[in-house]
Amino acid sequence: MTALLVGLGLWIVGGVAGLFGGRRQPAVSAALAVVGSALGLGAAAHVLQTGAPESFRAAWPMPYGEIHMAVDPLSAVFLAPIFLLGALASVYSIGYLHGRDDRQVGRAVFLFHLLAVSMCVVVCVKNAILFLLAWEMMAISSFLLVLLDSRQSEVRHAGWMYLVATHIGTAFILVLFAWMGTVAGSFDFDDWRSLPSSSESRAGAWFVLALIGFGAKAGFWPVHVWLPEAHPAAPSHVSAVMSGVMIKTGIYGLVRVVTFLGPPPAWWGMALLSAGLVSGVLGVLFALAQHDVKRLLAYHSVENIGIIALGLGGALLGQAYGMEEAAVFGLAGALLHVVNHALFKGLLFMGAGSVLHATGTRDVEKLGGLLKQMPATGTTFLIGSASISGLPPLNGFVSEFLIYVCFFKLALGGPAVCGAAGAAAIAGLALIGGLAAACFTKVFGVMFLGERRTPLAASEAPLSMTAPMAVLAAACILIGLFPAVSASVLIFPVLASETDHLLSMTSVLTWVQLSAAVLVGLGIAVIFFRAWIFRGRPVSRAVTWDCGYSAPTSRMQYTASSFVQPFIDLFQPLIQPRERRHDPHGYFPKAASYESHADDLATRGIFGPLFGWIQTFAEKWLWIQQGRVQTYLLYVFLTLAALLSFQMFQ
Amino acid sequence: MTAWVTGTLSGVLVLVVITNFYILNTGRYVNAVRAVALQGCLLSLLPLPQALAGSPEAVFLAAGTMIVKGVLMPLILVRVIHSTDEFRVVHPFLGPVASVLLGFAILAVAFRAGAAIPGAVHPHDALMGAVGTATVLCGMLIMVNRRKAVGQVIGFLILENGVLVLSLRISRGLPFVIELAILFDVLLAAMIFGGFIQSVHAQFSHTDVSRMRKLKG
Amino acid sequence: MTGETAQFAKDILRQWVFVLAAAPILPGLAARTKSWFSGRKGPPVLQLYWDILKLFRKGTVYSRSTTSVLRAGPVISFSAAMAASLMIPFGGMEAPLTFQGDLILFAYLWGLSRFFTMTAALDTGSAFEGMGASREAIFSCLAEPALLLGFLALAREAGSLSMSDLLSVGLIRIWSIHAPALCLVAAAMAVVFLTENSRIPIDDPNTHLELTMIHEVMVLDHGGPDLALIEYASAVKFFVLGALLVRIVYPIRSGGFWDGGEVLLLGLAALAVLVGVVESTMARFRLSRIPQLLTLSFVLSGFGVILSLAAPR
Repeated sequence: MTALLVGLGLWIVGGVAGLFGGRRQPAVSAALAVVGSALGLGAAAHVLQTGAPESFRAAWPMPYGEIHMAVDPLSAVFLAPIFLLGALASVYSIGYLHGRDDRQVGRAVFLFHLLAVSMCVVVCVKNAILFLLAWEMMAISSFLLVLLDSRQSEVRHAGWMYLVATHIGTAFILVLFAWMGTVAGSFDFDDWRSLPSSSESRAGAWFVLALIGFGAKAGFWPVHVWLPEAHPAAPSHVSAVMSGVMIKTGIYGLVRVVTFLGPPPAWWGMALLSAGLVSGVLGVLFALAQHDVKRLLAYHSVENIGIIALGLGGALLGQAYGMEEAAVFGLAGALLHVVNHALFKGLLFMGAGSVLHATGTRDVEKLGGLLKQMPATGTTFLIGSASISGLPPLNGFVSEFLIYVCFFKLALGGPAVCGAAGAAAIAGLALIGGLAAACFTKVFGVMFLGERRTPLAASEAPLSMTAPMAVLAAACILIGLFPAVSASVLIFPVLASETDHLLSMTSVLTWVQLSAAVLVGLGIAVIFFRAWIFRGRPVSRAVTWDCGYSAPTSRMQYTASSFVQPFIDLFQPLIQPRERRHDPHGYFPKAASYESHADDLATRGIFGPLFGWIQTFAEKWLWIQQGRVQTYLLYVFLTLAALLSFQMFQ
Repeated sequence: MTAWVTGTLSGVLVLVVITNFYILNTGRYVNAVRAVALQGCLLSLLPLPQALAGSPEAVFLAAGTMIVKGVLMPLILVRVIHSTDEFRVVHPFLGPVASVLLGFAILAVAFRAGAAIPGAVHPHDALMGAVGTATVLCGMLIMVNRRKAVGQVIGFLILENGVLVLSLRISRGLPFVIELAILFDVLLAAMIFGGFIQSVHAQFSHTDVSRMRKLKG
Repeated sequence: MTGETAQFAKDILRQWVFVLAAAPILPGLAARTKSWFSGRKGPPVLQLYWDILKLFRKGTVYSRSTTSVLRAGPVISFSAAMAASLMIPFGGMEAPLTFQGDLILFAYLWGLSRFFTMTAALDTGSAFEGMGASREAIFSCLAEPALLLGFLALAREAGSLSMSDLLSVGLIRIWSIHAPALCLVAAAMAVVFLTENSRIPIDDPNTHLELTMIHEVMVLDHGGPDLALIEYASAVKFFVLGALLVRIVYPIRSGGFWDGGEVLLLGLAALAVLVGVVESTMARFRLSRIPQLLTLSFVLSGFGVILSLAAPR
């Protein structure tokens, strides 16, 4: 615990140091962050190894309890990616922020460190009031980070949307915690563990509050609307952290609250499962339709949060139907996916940031052929793409595999309803996997392969940016190659379940590990075989097969829009794209063009009308705003009088 | 009931559902009518257990179903299609992929509902209830989702087929006379529909029912 | 332990030798059937072996646009196909890689091979290959749910999550009581088989127009040993997915590795001939109709799952 606190202290020192500026300053802060993270990771690893929670209590001169922080295995699983990705993003920001003016850099460093510390506090704190404070600090610091480039109007719009969305979520959490605190008579999480679970409907209400409140942070559909706005607007290392770990605090909160609520009824599992399916499928569909690479990645966060929710839903269903083993697989898959998503999404956002840094654009249609100029960024981006598509032998496959097994077990052993839910989840996961693979072939292919589409100059990012990406890519590969080891180190301490379930999971994962080894071994053998067979063979260079056309240009390449056009056509009722097309006419057609834009379904269909209605309602009260100071004083006076009289008559 | 009879019955019921999906998917009315004919023939196999038990009414009913649903009504419909020149499903409200998926959702719900119908005796009773419910709902879906009058007649026939399956499930077959009466009612309805559609087509040169909106005041 | 490891390695090698030796005959059979239907003599049944051998002895030409991604494509798709072949039991024995959940890995290995085939295609910067990749992406992502739901229906009947159990002797008993569900699954699997192997009515392997191809157009810029690997990988894919289908339709009773192997080979030969017949008698579907076909196959295997869920246990 001391190591953790010292680590957090170093992070804070690094952040404050940022405010003093200086040319080498970001490097100093990053160094402090790395040391702090190492300490924090050590603390988390210790807890995961021993399985025993460590706690820290201190008096607090405020009402409602004391400072109570504890790291149990669940916290540790969330802490590990926060520290890892936080430190790497801090290093990355040295190169990424290079060249901006000093004050902006200082502000970014300070806020970033504040964000990292508040995330750590959120997952460790054991007091509801303190949790809300840390939660709010996390929201505000990330909001200010999103606004770093606030000169652009779309950034201001994104920041505003984020602020509103996150506070709507916080409002639900506030109600939830106040209610639970009143019932329990305390705001300490330890006292909530033995909450009177006599009333099932009350527990249900709490679950719904938690689902909406934490879901808004995590990005469940339809409360995900802030994600595709805020992630592209934020600087890339911030997007990496926000998408990689900050939204996971929502998952953490949900899991933590569910542990307080006692044995779950089946409908909780069904609710989470539906939320997961809808988020997963719509998230990846809208990702397909995007051309802005960071916006696309943001939609993929919605998709991956959906996958995590599916795993959690499976775990709840397993508990509800008494299928402990399925529940264990679901929970393990969901938690491992939390870690994995932090790794590959952090990697992908950093890669997108490198491209943005090098070329100045996020529009994939303007890019192309970058792998030749940016080999390190491109290669790591490819590894991240394959991981997020859930391909073996990489880490994304391992967690999706566990979730699949959970649903197969539910469908095999459960009653018909449970089986139908399992079947729906399996079909959904399969569809999501296929669509994600399609989306990432598109984005990797269009950005990094082929030829340049516009004369944008690009060069490889500095080492401070490529090194963090290399670390993340290596982590993706390691977890993928050694799933049994990673799961037993990272996840098993949290499960605290019957040993034979863990044994069965270990045995399955050992087989996956073996298969990965066979696959990789065979791949290496084929590479050597290929190299051997090519000895002394003529290998020449020519142009790509052009079908006999003699003047091909790079603009004839398949674009991202054309790549996804069949998808948009097929899923048109769900995506409802705005299309602008000028078809070619006549024998000598003039320039023809096709564009498609996908506006968010929830923004357009739910929140737009809702907030429009609120606005018209609010405008009816505009007459209150007079602009005369005396009138306002009158309001104050009247309010006071009303309150006094209310007090008097009570 | 012997195993092979049960097996045949469940096979027939599964095929009925598949014809539903085919009709939801197809873009040509003639193909849809062929599938309706096939469905009628399949339904005529359903009174098989009673027929094997030696009930002459059941044999008669099977033959009647086969002739009316498998031959006569399809013939009428094909004639109507040819006389109105409306061969293709035009601009349905839901595309084929969406309507097949919706049909699948209906099927899943129907299995839940079909299991709830009381009085199941035979192992395939639950299946029969589910398939009947699914077919009725599927017929409604087709009626809602087609613009041309022919499409709606096809939907109606499927709906009626579903009712037949359900009636066999619930009461082991309605009394023979009523069953036959219904059969001829439906035949009559199909003939009237056919004549109606043809005269509407002759008058307006289309039978797009969504354009009936103009008629309201 | 070392004895076990050696046995494991031996099992794997035996399976690979078997697959590598037998796989290229099947596309040859299909082609032969087609030429018989059109009244031609056609290439010898063993032509693909010679083609592969010839390609392995050639040099190659790479496009200047390409990077190492293009070179990685064939290696990875071949390795993935071979790894997937380790999960299919060929005789009555268990497959070398058999564990609870291997069917998920099986499905995802094809995803791996597809991902890298598509990126290799995009690496050339050719619009044709991009078009092929786009079509491959959408059709395969629609086929995937059908495949996994089919597996689910079988798994529920077999009470296990491993391909070797799904395709074991128990299938005979399941055919006797749940024939409709199995028929549905087999039909769905057949569509998946045709899709994954780029066969008519989804794709035409013999078309000569780049605009209409799917799989063939993606490998236009591969040549020499790379193309040999691709051809070999698609033959292995035909063999492995075909074996899955054959074993569902005709369960193999029992025995060692070789027992029942001849039945499987006969079944695969029959399947290849059947594919040839289908290709001779049907036309390729319009691209816009393929999603309908794949949706139908999804619905079929979903219906199989429903039937198996609804069946009393």
